[in-house]
Parts: sequence; C-alpha cells; structure tokens
Amino acid sequence: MLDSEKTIKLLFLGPSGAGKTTAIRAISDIPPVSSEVSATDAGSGASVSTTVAFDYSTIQLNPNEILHVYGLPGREHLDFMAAIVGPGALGAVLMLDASSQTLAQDCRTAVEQAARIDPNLRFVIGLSKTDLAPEFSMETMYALARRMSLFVPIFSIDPRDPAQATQLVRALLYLL
Amino acid sequence: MPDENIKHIKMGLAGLSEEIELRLSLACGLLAASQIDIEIQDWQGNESDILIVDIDSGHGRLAYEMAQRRNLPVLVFPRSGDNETQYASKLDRDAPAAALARALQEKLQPSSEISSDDVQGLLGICIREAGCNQDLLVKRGGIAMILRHSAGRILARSVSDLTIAEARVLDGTWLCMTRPAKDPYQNEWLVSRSLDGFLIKACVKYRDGLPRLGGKLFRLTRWPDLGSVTEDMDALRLSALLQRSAWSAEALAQHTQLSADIINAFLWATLASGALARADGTTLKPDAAQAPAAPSSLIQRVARHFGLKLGYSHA
Repeated sequence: MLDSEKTIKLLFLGPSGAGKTTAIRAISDIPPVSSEVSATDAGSGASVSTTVAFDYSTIQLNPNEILHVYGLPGREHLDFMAAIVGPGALGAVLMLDASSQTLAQDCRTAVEQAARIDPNLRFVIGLSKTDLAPEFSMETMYALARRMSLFVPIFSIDPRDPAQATQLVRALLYLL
Repeated sequence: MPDENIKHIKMGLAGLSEEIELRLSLACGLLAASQIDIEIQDWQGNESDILIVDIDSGHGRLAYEMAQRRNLPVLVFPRSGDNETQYASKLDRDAPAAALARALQEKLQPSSEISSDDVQGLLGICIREAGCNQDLLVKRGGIAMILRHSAGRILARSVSDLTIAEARVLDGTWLCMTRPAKDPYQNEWLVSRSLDGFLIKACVKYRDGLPRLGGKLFRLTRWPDLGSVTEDMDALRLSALLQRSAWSAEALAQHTQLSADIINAFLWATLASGALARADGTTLKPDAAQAPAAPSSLIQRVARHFGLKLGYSHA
C-alpha cells in the first residue's frame, strides 16, 4: 500500500486515445505498466491499444527518491481509482486529443476530474494530434480556457517525443 | 452563416448602478460597428471574457479580487472622488457612452504601439496580421507556408522549409497574400507547427538584428505554446515571469541575468504571435515584481531531474 502523504506522484489525466500512456512512456525510466486492451481505430480500421484502467510508471529522481507517475482515464466509473492514487500528487498533466470532435467537452471533463481529485491541484494541458487536424485552432482552446477562468500553459506536443512530453512537466513545475 | 470576423465577448458586470449599466449597454451597441458583439451579464462567478466592476460596491470589490486571482481582464470604476492609481485599467464613471466604447475597444482590441515598420520580413507580416482570422499564404523564393495567425499555427510542406524560414524570418523578400479559397496545394501542407514556437526559435536565431523594445512594460495575455521549444529553458522562465506580472526588458534582464538580446528576442516573438501585450504603468523595479514563493526542496529535486536549474524560478 502506498502512503499518499509520502509518495511523490505525478498524474496524467484525459480521455482515452489522447496520448497519456505514450507521454508517460516518453518520460519514464521504465515502460509503463498498463491495463490495456486492443481496440480498433474507427478512422483507419487499424488495431490500437487503449488503457481501460490506469498506467503506472516510475522515474528515479536520485538514489533515494522515486517519482511515481500515474495515468488515469477520464471515466466516471473509474473515479474511485483517482481517489486512491490522486491525493498528494504534485500536479497533473491533462492530455487532450486536438483532433477529437469533442475536444471542448473532453477538456471540461478532464478539468472536472482534476478538481475532484483536489480542487487546488495544479495542472497543464497538452494537446496531441494537432498534425491530424489541419483546421485545428489554438484560439479555440484559449477561448475555452478564458471562459473557464483557466490561465494555465496549453502546449501542443507530440507525446512520442520525450523532450516535448518533458516540456509539459517543466511548465507544471513553474506553477508549483 | 456566422461571420468569422465578428468577435463575440461575454462581459460580466459587478456592482454597477443602473445608470452606468445603461451607458455601458449603449457603448456595447456602438462597438457592433467595430465587429465586436458583446453579451452583457450580471457577474456571479460565471464564465466571462472581461469584467467591469465598480469599486464603490462590495460586490464590485469582491469581483475585482476574483478577477485578479483568475487573471481575467477587468476594467474598474474607481471610488468616487478618489484619485485611484492602483488599477491598471480604469473607466471614468461620468464618461459618455462613446468614451466608454473607446475604452472598451482599447481593452478588447488593444492597438499595438509596436509597428510592423520596426521589423521586416515574416516577423513584420506576423505583427501586421496579428489577430487576422484569414489564412495567409507567405512565400519567399521556393518556400511557401500557410500562416494561420489567429489559430496560432504555421503550416509548411516540409520540416526543412520551416527550418529555412526560421533562419530568414527578417528577410525583406517575403510576400504575403490571402490563401486562395480553393487552395491547389491543400494536400501539400503536411507539417503543422505552433506559431509561438516557430517565432521564438526564429527570433532567437535573429536576435542580433532585432530593434530594442526597451522602456516599455509587457505582460503575457496567455502562456505561449512552448511544446516544441524544448531546448530553450529561458523561454519557459520568461513566460512564467511575464504571465504573473508586467515587466520591462531591462527589469527582466536585471532579475534573470539573461542576456538583453535573448529577452528582446522573446518579447518580439511573443508580440508577433499575439501572446504578449503592452501593459499600463511605469517600469517596475525587480523587487516590486510579483515573485513566486520559493519552491520546496522536493520540487527543486524534481525540477533538477527534468532539466531545470536549481532555483529555476528565481534569478
């Protein structure tokens, strides 16, 4: 059993397919332990994996300290897991799929999930798949953020790139 | 079909008298001519793009404090008879509707005193087209790109085109035109990048050739999209400072010990992308700036692992 008061934790939140597992893999020392199942991409018909419960990985900060990284999908029936692993987290990265037709609602859901974990939880927003959405506009996200009174970093990233995934964590650290 | 050039604004009012509300309503009507469509609502913490508060009322003062915490743009009617200087953006409670409209327009569509005449090339085009809702085709020699300024994106045919464009951002030979409605090259724009990231990298490369933005105060209106600016820790640090409070280039240099050229390049890039705005007031002394609390040693250790220097948020 993890002691949530002493464990150093970082959360990745957001809907399925937004790139949480990929981003965690990019920044972690070890491949994430994921509860994944196969799914079929509706657009391409290709077989992909999606996380149905959570991801877990670690980052060795120094010989004596480990940063525990959790990826939690935004599904209400799995909120009980957020209640277990969320408390005491340093902060969260909200990963969203910029090509999703439901981007605005996904953002609201992820922000609400973060607030349920801790109303004071600091977070940044990462947008993946901007290259798959030629008409994507950051202004859409900025307008949404203004209306939700969010003044947080919103970065478009490729979660496969460790440097870009790391950039989100760095921005989060500036908020703490 | 909705006109994409019309700016839709939700304006929250807090603590205003009926008479002032009426004049504000008239002022908002006048702004329709400037393609600003304002929806007025009593503010009870609901979503708004801008707040108008009367500090004479308790509700107005509470709303002002909340707006400050949430970094919401706010215009203030100061206390009657007081010569209040603490508010960055004030309204005259006796001003006619036309004057209120001008003040609102300046807040909602601030005119940049930085002229595109100050810089040439693609950077000048970006400054001139700030807020443009139309896609633009920009060309130089064999390189062509799509500039989607309001979307914060730049599209190119290849990564190498973007790299070359970064290194030629001030060249005066860039041509700019509206992207054709039926773009014959529509399927060729395969590379989509953050405009913020592109301009920051380009301005840093060209930092020796940029005129100085000294003496003015600036503040970020939003965090720049730094997802692709992975090798420039200075951009993150400057963003963190400039989103908390207004700074001049000189005060930033003194506070951060970064080179004046680097700071100047960052200011030009974010001005051109629309993330940075001029701020009211006079130059802040470094110690007067709103400094964050020192991060805990735990945060420092995590920061060190992710490549941020010890004491990363401080000079």
